[in-house]
Amino acid sequence: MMRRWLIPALAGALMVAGCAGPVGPGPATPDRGSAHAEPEAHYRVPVTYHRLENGLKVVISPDTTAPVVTVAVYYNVGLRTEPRGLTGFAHLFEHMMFQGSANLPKGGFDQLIQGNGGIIQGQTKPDMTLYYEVVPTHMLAPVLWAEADRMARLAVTEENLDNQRAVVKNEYRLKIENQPYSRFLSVELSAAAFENWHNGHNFWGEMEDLDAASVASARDFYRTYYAPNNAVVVIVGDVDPEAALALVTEHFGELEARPRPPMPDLSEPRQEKEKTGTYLDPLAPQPMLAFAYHAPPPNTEAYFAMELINQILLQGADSQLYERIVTDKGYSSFVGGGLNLQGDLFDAIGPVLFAGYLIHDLEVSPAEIVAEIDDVIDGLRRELVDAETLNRAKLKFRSGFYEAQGGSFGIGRADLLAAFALFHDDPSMINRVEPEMASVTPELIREVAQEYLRP
Amino acid sequence: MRRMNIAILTLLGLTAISALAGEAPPAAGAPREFNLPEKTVFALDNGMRVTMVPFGQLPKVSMVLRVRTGNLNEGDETWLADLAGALMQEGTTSLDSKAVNRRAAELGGGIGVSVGAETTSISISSLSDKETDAIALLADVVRHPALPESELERIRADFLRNLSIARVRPQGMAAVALNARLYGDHPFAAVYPSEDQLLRYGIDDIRRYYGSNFGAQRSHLFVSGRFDPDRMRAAVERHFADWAPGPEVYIDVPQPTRIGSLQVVDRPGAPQSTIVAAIPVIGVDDLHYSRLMMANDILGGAGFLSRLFQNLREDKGYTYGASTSTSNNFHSAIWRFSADVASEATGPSLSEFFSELRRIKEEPPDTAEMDRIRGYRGGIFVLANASRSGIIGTLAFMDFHDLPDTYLTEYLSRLEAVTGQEVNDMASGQWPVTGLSIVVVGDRALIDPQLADVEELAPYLAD
Repeated sequence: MMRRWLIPALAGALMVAGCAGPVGPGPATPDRGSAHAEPEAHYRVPVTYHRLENGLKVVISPDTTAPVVTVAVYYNVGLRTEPRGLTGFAHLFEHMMFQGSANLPKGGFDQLIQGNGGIIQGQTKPDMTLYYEVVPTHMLAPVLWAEADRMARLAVTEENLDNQRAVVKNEYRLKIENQPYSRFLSVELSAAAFENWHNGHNFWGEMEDLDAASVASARDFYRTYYAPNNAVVVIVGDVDPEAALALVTEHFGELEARPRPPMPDLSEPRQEKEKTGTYLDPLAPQPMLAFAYHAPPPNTEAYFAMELINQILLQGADSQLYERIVTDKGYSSFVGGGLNLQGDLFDAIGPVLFAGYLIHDLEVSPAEIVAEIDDVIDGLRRELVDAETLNRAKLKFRSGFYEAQGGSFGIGRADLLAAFALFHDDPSMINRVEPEMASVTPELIREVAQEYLRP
Repeated sequence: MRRMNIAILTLLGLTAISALAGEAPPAAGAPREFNLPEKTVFALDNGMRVTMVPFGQLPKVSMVLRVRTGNLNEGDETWLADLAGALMQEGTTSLDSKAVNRRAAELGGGIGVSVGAETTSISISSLSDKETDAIALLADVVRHPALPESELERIRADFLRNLSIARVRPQGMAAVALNARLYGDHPFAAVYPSEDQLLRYGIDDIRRYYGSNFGAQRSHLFVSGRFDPDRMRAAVERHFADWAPGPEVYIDVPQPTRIGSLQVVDRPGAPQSTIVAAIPVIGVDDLHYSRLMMANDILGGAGFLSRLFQNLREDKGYTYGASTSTSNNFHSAIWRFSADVASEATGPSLSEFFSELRRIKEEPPDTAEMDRIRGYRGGIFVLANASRSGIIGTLAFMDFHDLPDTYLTEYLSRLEAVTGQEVNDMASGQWPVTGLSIVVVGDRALIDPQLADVEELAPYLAD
């Protein structure tokens, strides 16, 4: 079978609007009038929080659902932090954390964890790099020992670096270069929306930058960011909190704290004018259209309101953009998107986008679709959202939040706890999300829409 | 009421690590027992079956109605089942699609219809205090879909658009070539319809497909999460007891080919080659399936632990991932190797694959390697059954394949009993090189010369 892949060059239209400044004056006390759901008694997560003498944060949250435990180690360094000239380095380095440490040569970590019934994962996000294992409960001590070994005594060699450089290039080809729409959504959209290089550069890395990465740069990066005082250890599962804390102290307590350089300036200038851009995707048979707005700063009152706006506009088949674009107009079979596409709702500390995207036929012009999107969004700026819609948004959020907390054997919960500990020094925020969300008023929704969804 | 308590973790000690430098890891604790949650199974008079499993601490319930119909039942009308599934989400005789979607959101989740090769799943996940309303909505969607003609053109346009995108993905291109080769004229042969086909289907075809394939006898409802069993059972009876039995389960077991072949699909400029090699094998209902599982895990089924992953990725850097797996259809199973490799490493990757295949047939794996696989499977067994959707998945899988409870209770002890010689025998018997259907999607200008250097491919490249 022979096929030619000569596809007409297609453009994805892109519009970007909004600002990155702090939100305007918000209502001091939430209005709990009739237009607003009574907060129901919510599910509470048990949380204990400690800080070792070397600065390592430790969060423990017991759960007896199954005899398994999740160990998550999150470092306060991410894709946005990597230096110019070394794009893709944060992600490449994440791979190096699986290449062996003083007491576990290459392959030993995998054998220890997977060979004893566990799963392993590493991931690099804009503001954090994370590692977790889910194992049978009795494996807690060996896992902590192994995580401490690679936090303290990583072994980076030329050979392993070359090997993982090749692996990362293949990851890029698999996920981005050889798939339609991938580069447009995961590289070009941020590049167009952000002004600050840290926020908008290609996180996957340019091939020449990947080639330039050296053992020396890896050691330097490791020394700088992989210190106990720049990390949090989270344990979720069928454990006794005191015994678990004792184990963490035993394995991590001796590690040395090291000063961490200040965070780079991630701030974005306030955007005053709509920006548009196009990207030619040689693989795309149909155009994709995406839009993005600068969202309020993470974990502020306005950010919670923005998440409800996301629920109202984009999440689920009952959302306003789905009804307009998919059901009424038939422009697309879906409207994807959300707050912080590069991560989750709570795992960013720097500027975040609220973005949406869809794939449409060539016969429909981007301008027609944008006009419909604008019209729906304009409704939120003009009118107070009705009680039924807001209540449904809150309910969808609550249901999804439970799902996130319960999802993937404790990983979902560990992820939330780690982000709250790392960025806000307060993992118990996990239990304040529901009441915060419940207290968002129609007035706040409109105010945030007016400020952040400006045309 | 049936109860299954499995002390599976007593099998697990701390398995050996092949290479250790310096300090050894601390001792593991004592393994704990893992008890599968208690399930309640009952049938309604119309033949519909129901399995309920209380599980977890979060206030949510998942409900999945699995109906034995899918692409198998379309005959040569490829994607008619998918089109019907999409139209089932466009409202019921009493609620339009917006009303259905809003009601589902008010219960705390969306309602989804997912069409597979042999089953169609209608699912909803709700908050625990709304579970009986969720059952009512689920029943309405599956029993009284409007299948509105007014929405057909829009859905068809969506399908045409999605089809054009699916066809440019290299993995989709590989699947098209592979299934056509494996399945001949069986419905599984066609991964995608032609545009003409999609344009031909009318509302009458969709209604006929629905009418002749949905009913109580083909359906099994699975419920898992936190709920009141008595209220749930009453709600199920109220909303499903008067559903017509409908058609019996339709069976058409394919006879996939074991005559080897090589297909090279050109994708000029592709940075990677997508490689698939597949062959029919014994299925999950075979007495010796655990031997196949062990052989598969050693070779490519156990992530970082597997030889192909270690070789092609961690040693050579040819790929981001390489794996093998067995997929089970009813009384028919296919084993496959798949990897997306750098274009310049296409030939070398295939040579390494054949070399690993030879090794697992000829050299008995050592005990430490097999113990790590057993350790891995023990843990994955717990994880696979430690979530609402995981339990439903396991129980639905066992139900579909008519597997007895011993499939679960003896799962790990059977794996424990597998010997190195049995691994060799299984690999030799099930994976003959001459029986593999091989597909490579990539840039022919770059890969053809490389394929010519691979000894095992020579029979296919003679002319």
